[in-house]
Amino acid sequence: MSIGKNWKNKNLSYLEPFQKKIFVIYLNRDYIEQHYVYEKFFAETRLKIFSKLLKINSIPCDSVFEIITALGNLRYRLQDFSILEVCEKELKSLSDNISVLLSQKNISNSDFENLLTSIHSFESIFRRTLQVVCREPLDFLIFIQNLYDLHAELKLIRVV
Amino acid sequence: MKLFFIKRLLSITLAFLISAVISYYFSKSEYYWMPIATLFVMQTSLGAPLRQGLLRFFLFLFTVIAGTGIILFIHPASFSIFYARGYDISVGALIGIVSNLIIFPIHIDVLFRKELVLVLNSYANYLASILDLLLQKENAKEGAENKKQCVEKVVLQFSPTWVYTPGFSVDLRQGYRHFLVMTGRLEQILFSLHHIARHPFSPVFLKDMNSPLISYVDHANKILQAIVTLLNLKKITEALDDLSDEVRILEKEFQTQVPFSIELLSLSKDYIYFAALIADLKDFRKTLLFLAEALR
Repeated sequence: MSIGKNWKNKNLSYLEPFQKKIFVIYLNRDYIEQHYVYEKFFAETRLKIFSKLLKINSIPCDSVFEIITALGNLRYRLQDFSILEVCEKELKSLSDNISVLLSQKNISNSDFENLLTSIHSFESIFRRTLQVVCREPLDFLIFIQNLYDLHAELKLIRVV
Repeated sequence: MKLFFIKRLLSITLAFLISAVISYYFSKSEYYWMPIATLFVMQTSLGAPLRQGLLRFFLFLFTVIAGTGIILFIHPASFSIFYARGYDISVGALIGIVSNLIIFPIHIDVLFRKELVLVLNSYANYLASILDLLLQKENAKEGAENKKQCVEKVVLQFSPTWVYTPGFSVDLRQGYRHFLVMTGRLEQILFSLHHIARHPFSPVFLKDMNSPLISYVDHANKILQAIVTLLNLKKITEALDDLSDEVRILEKEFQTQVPFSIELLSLSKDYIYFAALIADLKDFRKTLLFLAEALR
């Protein structure tokens, strides 16, 4: 797969630490105790991202940022983070696969397939377990939709 | 922030000059220790001039005394040099710390409120443009993009992230950081709403949602303006309720139009985006109320 002539507009590596930290919240499940530490990181990282986005001025890149932000908004809605323990492996895999698509210069179709597989396995665990045990399953459904949107948007940007 | 840098520059220059003059007449060791100490203790971040100044003074004093000790060990000389350098550094640090506190002091409360007013005003405009995009008005796409860029520019230039600086005033830290976290949360919900608004909802959905959405945004912006008024230390003249009626109407509309079962939501993207829209609007309301509560 070609990465295209204009790597500058396709390079989304500045979003990688942002998405990584969002998933760290879900993996460490310590947002309630550490929320100032996380929010400080997000406040500082957002400034770097804004400066980059203003320079690039590309709607698809803006859109990827918005979707990652929307993925992070689950942290405001979850009251019991321990529920995420059941899908720890899936969340880790999602974060890793998104990282590859955001930061690596040379990507292949299999990288997109990997992300899709991770989303499917997260969706499957949602249908089997989370949906039954969590208080607000709708929030997870929205999260999954955002993951699909991210996959689609990344494909749009990274594939020529 | 520009004003802040000018004030800092002037205060540092003045303190340096004062220190240099005092050093010329009263220095007990080399003439440069006093101005260097003044400059060193003045390199503090916003909101922490005293604590960081003292920390820097002790660090500088310790480093110089230790360095002098090593030199004296290699080339033995009179021990009075410890006293002389310690005296110069202490006087220099005192000039620096006092200057930081009294020459063109930065009123962080005023700066914090001023910067947040700009940020919140940009949010209000962005929310209105997202509504236009959601309701598929003409040129709404460009409008929302422009307003988003305005938010990015304003946040980049004015967001008071200095409240996160280590050593920031212990008395103010908790309240200011809480307020800033809530402001950041509003911003992130707005971005999420923008993403939802990009989805082309079916006109059937929008027909019934039109009026409650307009009412919600109108009311939310009034609350934002009320927060801005309070930040400007003015009184609110209009009584505002807490947006609960608007959220209830939107939820009712959601229950009317969307299947009750969560499995059936996946039938149409409109359903899930509608659910996401309601969830974001509820979060937005909750965060606005947190901000208003913090100002009470």
